[in-house]
Amino acid sequence: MTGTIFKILLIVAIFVAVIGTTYPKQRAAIEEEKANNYDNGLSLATMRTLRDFEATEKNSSSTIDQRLATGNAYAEALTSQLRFEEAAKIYQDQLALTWGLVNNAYNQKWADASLHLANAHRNLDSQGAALVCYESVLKHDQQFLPANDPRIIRDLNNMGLMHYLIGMGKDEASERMKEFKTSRQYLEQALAILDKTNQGNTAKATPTLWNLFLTCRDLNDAPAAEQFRLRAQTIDKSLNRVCREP
Amino acid sequence: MTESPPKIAPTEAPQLQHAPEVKHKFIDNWNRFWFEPTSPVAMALFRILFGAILLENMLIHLLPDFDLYYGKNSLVPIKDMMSLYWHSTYYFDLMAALPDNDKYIYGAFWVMVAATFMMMTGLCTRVSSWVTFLLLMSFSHHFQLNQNAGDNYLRLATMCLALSNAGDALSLDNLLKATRQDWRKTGFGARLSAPWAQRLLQIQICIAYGHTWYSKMEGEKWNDGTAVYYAVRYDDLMRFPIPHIFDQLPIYMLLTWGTLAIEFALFTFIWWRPARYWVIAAGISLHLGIEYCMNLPMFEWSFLFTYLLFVYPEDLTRSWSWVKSTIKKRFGEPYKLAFDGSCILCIRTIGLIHRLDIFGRIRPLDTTDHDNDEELTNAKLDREQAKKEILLQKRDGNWLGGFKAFRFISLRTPLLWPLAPVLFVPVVSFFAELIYQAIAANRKLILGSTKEVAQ
Repeated sequence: MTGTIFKILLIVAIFVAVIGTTYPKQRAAIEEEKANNYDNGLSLATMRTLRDFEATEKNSSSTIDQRLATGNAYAEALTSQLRFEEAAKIYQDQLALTWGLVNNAYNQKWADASLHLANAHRNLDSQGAALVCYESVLKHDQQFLPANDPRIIRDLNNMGLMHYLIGMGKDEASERMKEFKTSRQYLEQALAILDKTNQGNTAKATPTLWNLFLTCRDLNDAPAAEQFRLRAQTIDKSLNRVCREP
Repeated sequence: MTESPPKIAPTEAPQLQHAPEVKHKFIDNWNRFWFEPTSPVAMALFRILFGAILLENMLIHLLPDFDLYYGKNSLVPIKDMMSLYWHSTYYFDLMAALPDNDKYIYGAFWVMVAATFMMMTGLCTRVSSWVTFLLLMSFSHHFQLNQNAGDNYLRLATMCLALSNAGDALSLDNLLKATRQDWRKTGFGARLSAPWAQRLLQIQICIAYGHTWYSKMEGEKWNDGTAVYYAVRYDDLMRFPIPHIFDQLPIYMLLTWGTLAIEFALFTFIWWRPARYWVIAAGISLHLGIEYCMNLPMFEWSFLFTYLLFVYPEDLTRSWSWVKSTIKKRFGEPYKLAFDGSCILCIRTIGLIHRLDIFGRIRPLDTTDHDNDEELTNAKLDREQAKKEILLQKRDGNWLGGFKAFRFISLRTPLLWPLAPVLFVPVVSFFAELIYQAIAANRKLILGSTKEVAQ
């Protein structure tokens, strides 16, 4: 009987010793995971930015810049959590907030809000809405900025890309080709400005060149596609960038 | 004087009298089921076969991917395993208590392999089976993603083995213990003990079958008779395809419903003695069928070997007697082995040989026992020689003595076969002969006479 009790106590002691040694490690691992958990981090960032955003909104003395900054931070946190609709709502409000800031001149804050909203619509797979935003920014930029401004190149590139993406979603070949042609026109305009400003062989031209390659390839214009591919690859090689063909 | 109220006769008196009897009978049956001393041979056989499965699992399935599961750069390091899978539950993991270094994990693995081998061979069975169980549990907690129901069963069965007296038979422990005993008084039978650990395993396997049967009964495909069709086509586990001739809906219906019927019987009718062996036979056919069609490493075999625990001890004895008598018919009568019954060393040696002689090819005859006089005289035994060394009679009637007799035995005893080739190496045999003679000449000085034999 004594022997049996001793054996049972020995087994219990082994369990207590092992679990007693490992449990602090287990707790430490759980705490560390909580602190470094990506989802937890995002939630914390969202809560923090929401608190700042709400505080700024409620504060009647806060400036527009402060409201835009806290709104952007909150919307970015929401975007990281894939809460695109809520982010779009914030950018939508920013459009209203910034629209009347400048009269008959370039409105940088409104343009930024529009671009953010366009990106939010792209994330929501609302390409039509995104296209409207990009187009309004392009028109605004073309109206108030010099013809060769890099922001116009950016806008043309965005327009080209959006038409290409919209074309990719079309079932009818004729509709698809129509979108690709429009896309090509915007992208070639962007490339023309790049060439005109001697940026056609720089890293700034590669996104446009690669987009042109895709568009021309899908338009069945193989020689043009090959030409744009070679140009893009030459730039990438000169910069030691390994860029795989899409 | 007060009048006492009239006594009312209890209307349910017969039942009330019967109740303690029923209770008593239930307790008797309960005690008999769990605690009536039983032969540990079935559990010992299970220990050997189950140990082999564990070794196969460790060395063939686990070792090639060991780093992937348990190394420092494993798929899920222990720190993440703790935070993402353990949460706040208390888990037993011996390796997590050790410093975070691969050498400790590998060390624990090889200790587990060694302990499993010891458990299988029955060396320090109790301790080795506990070590095996604790390490098996540690490894299963250390990386939980490579575990399936088969691993859970291995762990549970090892725990029951650790709690049982599986080392009391067919083990090195038993062999070593026997060398300290006079078998003429203790006999060769294994020590009987309470079989509660064996019963736990029996009930465990019934729970497994009951659970799987119930789960299947809830499934649509098991009821419409098509489940086996899908099971044998599961790409990840497929081994051999069902032969084309059997690839028919009625056959699949038969197999599906047959599986349900067999699994039902395996947790119900298996407890009914007349049906037990039929149910086991059906269970064996079920698992061999699964083994043919599906590759579920060690799962089928661990279940099949558990059936051994349902074999009644007397049937095990009868089966082995049948094996021995068949061998006797094929290879003739056992060889007579004469020994000096007044020498403890001789008695212990003969006891050892007899235990190793699992097929009963040797018949020990004590030269000091007068019951053997006639037989030994007829066999023309040189009694003077028999006092100096053990003697074995060959088929031609000649007697072999000492080391040569032992060497002769080693060829006829399967458990000694690994040793036999060594005994025929000239240098070894020369020195072994010398050592035997030296020990034989001083045998009574080494251990004394029979009066001092330990029990």
